[in-house]
Amino acid sequence: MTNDIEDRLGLGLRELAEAPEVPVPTGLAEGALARARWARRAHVVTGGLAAVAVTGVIATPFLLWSGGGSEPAQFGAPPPPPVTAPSLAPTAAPGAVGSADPDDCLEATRITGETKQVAPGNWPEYVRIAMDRLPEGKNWVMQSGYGPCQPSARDTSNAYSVINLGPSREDGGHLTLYLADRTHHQLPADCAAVEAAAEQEGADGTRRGEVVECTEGTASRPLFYAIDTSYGELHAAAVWADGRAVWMESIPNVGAPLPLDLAGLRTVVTDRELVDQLG
Amino acid sequence: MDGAAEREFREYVAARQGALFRTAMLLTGHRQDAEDLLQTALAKLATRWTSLRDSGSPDAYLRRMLYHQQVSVWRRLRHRRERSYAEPPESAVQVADPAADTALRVSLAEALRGLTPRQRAVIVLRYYEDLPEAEIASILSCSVGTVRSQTHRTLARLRVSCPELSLTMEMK
Repeated sequence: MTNDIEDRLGLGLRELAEAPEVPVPTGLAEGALARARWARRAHVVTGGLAAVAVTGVIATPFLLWSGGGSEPAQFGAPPPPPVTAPSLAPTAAPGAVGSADPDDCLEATRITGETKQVAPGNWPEYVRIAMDRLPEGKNWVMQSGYGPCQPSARDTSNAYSVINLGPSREDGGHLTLYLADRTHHQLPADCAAVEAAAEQEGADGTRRGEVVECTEGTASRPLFYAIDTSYGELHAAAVWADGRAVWMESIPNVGAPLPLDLAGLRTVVTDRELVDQLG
Repeated sequence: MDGAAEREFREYVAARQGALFRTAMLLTGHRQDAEDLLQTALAKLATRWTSLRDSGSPDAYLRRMLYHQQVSVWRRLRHRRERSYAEPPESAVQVADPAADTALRVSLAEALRGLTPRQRAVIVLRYYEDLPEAEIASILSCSVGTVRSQTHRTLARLRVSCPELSLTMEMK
């Protein structure tokens, strides 16, 4: 008689791993390549003036940035583009990564289970507001998120959430929602800077995308712009005169239409109540 | 990365994604976390694809990234007043357990959820990937002694949380 827990464990693990109910996700390679392109782009941008000059992007955006000054140029690029998953959404809220400084950023409490999801009762207020502005009749589900808070990490938004269309994005894709003040993340201050941001090229020569709309801001109305990215996503942002910003990415499943169109993105990101959640 | 390199990268992922995703599933126990974990590791691989392809070691690099990422996520969570999963399970949103076919799978899936990511990593490397302790230590950047003690403690825990593992082979 044997009592070989190790054999049984190996057998059980193989059975678990080969469970047919869990299909391999699609678009893994494209997602990885898109993120790698973005990483190279960010590296080029943050690599200092020399790198900026080499890539042919003149220092003009420094002058155009809301707030200008000493913050490193981000050229308004939102965090990298998740394609098949909100892979760049931090599993934990920012701050602890490479930083010893604590902050008040906490993840929204998730429901346990196989699908990541935050119950409506646990939605942060800013998510509730955004959900109210999204088109009715669709199955919008908050997957995860944090904030608003004061992240200790640099270039990190004050709030971030992933909103799925269907609990597992089975209805077409997902959205990412960001809120940031000028001290944590700076976006373009005007349409010229937006154009410059869209024209940036990665190391592979692919430009970020095309500006499909840009409306200059005023004291009472935010700069609004949208970029149709070269990796099939639509990004839209509203930047207020005081530097506070809300931006959202509409990310379709492979082969699916955008989960939220330009008008829908505009309705959300330009909402005054939403940006006021930053205080 | 030029067009040819991207094509090779896509071909590599297409050939390996099934096995990689299964490993990620075992490490995380969660489909979306597995997808996120694998996507992150692949993105890191993509940034170094040309040199790693030429050196012939993308598999080793990717495996290291998968396990490191998973363990580092756990470290971050541990140090941050993480409140995820603070609520009791809600059966209404539970998706069918992928291990529903056998009692062992059901019980083991549940028991694995009770392990830390590092414990899971050690168990998966040792009993799923069948790697020797020295290699596991190298991948996880720890000593062989740590691997040994982690394995011992985790097996002891699994004996309690997953009694099906302790059934005699004759009882199968």
